[in-house]
Amino acid sequence: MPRNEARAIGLSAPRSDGPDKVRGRTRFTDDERRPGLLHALVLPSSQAHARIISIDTDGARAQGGVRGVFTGADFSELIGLYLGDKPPLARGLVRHHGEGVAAVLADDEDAARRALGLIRVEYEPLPVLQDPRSAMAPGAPILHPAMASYRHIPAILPEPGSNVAHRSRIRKGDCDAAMAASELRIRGEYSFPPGDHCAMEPRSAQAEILGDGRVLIRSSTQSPFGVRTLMSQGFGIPHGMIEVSAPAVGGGFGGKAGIQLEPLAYLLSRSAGGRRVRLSNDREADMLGSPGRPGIQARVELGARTDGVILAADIEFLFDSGGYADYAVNVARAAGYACTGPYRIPNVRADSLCVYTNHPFATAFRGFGHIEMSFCIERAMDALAEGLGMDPMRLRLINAVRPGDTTPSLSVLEPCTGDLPACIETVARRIGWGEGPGGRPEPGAPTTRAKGISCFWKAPAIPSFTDAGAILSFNEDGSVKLSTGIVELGQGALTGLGQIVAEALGIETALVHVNREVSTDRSPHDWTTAASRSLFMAGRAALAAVADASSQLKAIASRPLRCPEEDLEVGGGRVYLRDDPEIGLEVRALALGYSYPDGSSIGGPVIGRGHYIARGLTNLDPETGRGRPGLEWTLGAEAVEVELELATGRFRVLRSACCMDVGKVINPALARGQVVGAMAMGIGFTTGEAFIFDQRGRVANGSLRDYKIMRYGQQPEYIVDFLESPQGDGPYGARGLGEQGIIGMPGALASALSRAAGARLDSLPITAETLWLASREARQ
Amino acid sequence: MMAAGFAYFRPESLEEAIMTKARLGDSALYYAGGTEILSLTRSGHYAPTAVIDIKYIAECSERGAKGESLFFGSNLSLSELADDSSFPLLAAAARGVADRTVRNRIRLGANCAGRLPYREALLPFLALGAIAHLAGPGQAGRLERRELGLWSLHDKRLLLGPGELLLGFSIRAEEAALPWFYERSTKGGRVDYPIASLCMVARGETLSAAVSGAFEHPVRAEAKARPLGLSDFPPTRSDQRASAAYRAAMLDLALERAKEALA
Repeated sequence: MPRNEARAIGLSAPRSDGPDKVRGRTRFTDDERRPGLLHALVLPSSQAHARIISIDTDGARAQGGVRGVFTGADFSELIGLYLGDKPPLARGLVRHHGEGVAAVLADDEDAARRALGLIRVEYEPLPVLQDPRSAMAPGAPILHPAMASYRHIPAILPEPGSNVAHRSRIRKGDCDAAMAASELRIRGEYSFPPGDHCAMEPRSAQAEILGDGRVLIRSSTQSPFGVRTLMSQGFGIPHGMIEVSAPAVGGGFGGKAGIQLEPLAYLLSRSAGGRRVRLSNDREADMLGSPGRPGIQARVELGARTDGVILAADIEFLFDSGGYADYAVNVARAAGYACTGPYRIPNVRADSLCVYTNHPFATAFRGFGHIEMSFCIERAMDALAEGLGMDPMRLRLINAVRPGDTTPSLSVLEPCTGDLPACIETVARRIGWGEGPGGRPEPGAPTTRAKGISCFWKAPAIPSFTDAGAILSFNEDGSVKLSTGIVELGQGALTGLGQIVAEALGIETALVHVNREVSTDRSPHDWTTAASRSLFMAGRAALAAVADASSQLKAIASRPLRCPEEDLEVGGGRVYLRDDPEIGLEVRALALGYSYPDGSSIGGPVIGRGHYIARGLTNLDPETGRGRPGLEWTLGAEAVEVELELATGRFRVLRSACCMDVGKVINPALARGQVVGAMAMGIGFTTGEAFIFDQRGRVANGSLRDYKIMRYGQQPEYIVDFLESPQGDGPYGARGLGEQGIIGMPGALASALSRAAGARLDSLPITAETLWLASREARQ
Repeated sequence: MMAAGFAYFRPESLEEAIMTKARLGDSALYYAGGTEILSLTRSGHYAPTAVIDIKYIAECSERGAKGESLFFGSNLSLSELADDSSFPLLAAAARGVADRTVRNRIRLGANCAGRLPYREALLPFLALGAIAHLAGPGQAGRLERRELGLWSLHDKRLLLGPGELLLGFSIRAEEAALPWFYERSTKGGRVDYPIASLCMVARGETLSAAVSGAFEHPVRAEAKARPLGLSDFPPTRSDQRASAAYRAAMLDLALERAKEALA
């Protein structure tokens, strides 16, 4: 019998979660409503910074159907994954608009909603910190006076007595000397306000405590194991007594990795004798009460020779984390060690800080520090190109990182790092760089077109011990089940993992069934579905599980086939002799045990185990930032073309190109989908998706009526190219690509719009009115 | 999720609707598509005790020629108006509001008489000085009808009497074919509230315009034998969508283009 092995890698296998999602039949966390469920609602603060004088809950308690009304005084715990700074409900002090100040537990949502309207809160407004610089000014109110007592992981370096929740220092080479030796120095300031992820599914959690003390949590989370740790640390519950289950999640973008609703849902259940409690955000609560993305204020100075070679970078990133730190402390850390963008800069001084303000609190967002960092660096690169009188594309080519270069943390880029110069050349060709008008409007013309280009890099921002596990087992028909701790967020990871296993076993992807729901009781441990590391790390674990299962299959097959195990191969649903493939057995006759013709049987269910842990990552030195924080760096370039109507400032993004070196494309359609989605999100980030604050620090656009996200009609033409310089340790050479497409967009788009308007636009969002003002001033 | 439940009434005759409203008073709202009432009730801006659904009243759904007039019932959805070629300016103004899916729900009457300040479907009628057809509870507790020119009925908003319901608007048939101009600008994408929405018609030498988005409420202006300019309107307003200066600039540009188009 000839070898008949199916190929899976490189094919656009349809998404296994697709058919139910397009029919609206996928059951998300909040779709499960068991009888007896109690409903919780949270009263948001109307103030951004205020002392709570009193909370009158009498009226709410008297409402029919109400089981309890709670305030911060009822719960003494502090929660937080990296830095435990957040009370489940505000305790005496409100630190941001929309922070929960009271919660109602009732038999139904109607009763809870009515009771919520009867709670009276008296506030004494306090001075509001509206940006990190003001929060660091002498005499600024200290938002967390008890910071010194907060529990935190060693990698996070808070500065008690200030509003700095974390400071990363990068010291590479001799920045001052190199700056002094530079023939040209440019300096710029860059900023944007915080905003929201706007995942389609608002966050939702249910909690229940069983009679034996076992805690059950069901949540729309990217991190079931992270939630378990958060619960264990926050409330002293043994890990083994907590089960967190995560069904399909309707988009995460980093927002569902940190603090969400689980701790409060648990506390409310505890207050109600362990009854099952449902706590779900409506859209407005999701935008203000749960974490969004950070804002930034940044300063970048670059020093270069007149030939374009950059000698030094002096950088300060001040992340606006809002009232609580959540993941933003690590976002600032990631922005620190990646601070230069993908450019070889021998001398770097950078301070990247996470600063408390009175804005809604911030967590991870797609790009994790890199999108924020990239906007500042790419705008500085364009300013440098202008100063040098050099083509911005050429400046990037000259300084692009290459294998053997070191990152700001002095980690060496491995030989199998991707090919950034080729990415730059590809997007330049695809966008027609250097062709067309290039910004300078012809006199009297109503519109002008311009282009912008950027580069990006990103490695997973993960702890040095980040792990993934996989369990592979078989069904009677020889099809396989893969169980991992990866949550399907819409990114298609389950389909990609299925393809990796199918390829390794030489079977059709349809014969690999990947678990849809993660449970910390039943699924192997996995750090978190974040950081674009799922396909890489769980993919490696899955390959290890395939290898383990294959050796077990060979061991069983070797007995009836009467041959050494090492002469056997597994593929195409068979175990066969390598040198005589016609001799072999079907996997389905082996995987649950082999029965001889006389009925006697051997073996038993084959269970493949696989695991992976990040290789060779180290902590960063607190003084210099030296260390190896990034597993694999995905490199790429992006370019956009815009058309600007000068009289009105209205613009369209006409075309948007991305070229990324992903090592190996596992699923072309899914990979393109991730990159196009990320580019669209990047356009929204640049042109509108941000909070607007009033003078009291309250969010003026905290609903989708006013907070506009991109619509189909606004999409440009997307051009996506992949290069495949294999990642030595990636599954089939693949590296992460889920977030990366967003990173370069703010820089490229702001540069294109700046060129079109004839002005430097270094603050986001850039709206038609911004461009109208800028181009009017430029013409005067 | 609504703050609290409310009673739902579905009258099948105009009289039943008017009398139900008269009985329930101010805390009951006439209800059509629900886009405004439901979303603003959810966010706590409205708290109706009852809604009276007027979608099943045949009279409010009428449209077309009535003698010398063209009538547009208040129950017509903005999608129906957007697809109606009999009054091109109205079709254009209706098409500017929201997106198709939402326009399927928004009704003409509610768009013109709701509390949101934009009321863009009203602008063509306001520019023309259309006749508003109203019905309300009369003094004797019986249904009473009124027909009033919009120029006297509109001051910042439609001046409806207590419990009065807008049945629709009528214009003189030939007015639908007058030369017209429409332009709308937003902060960013098309699907947003307007920062300036302009409807203009030319009746011989007379230009009549109605504008919303730029001010706190729709504003009407008219000029004879000269173009309309910014000075014909009150100062523009400033909010999170746009500054007063940008609103003024966008309105100015629209007026400029209207001048060229209608010259």
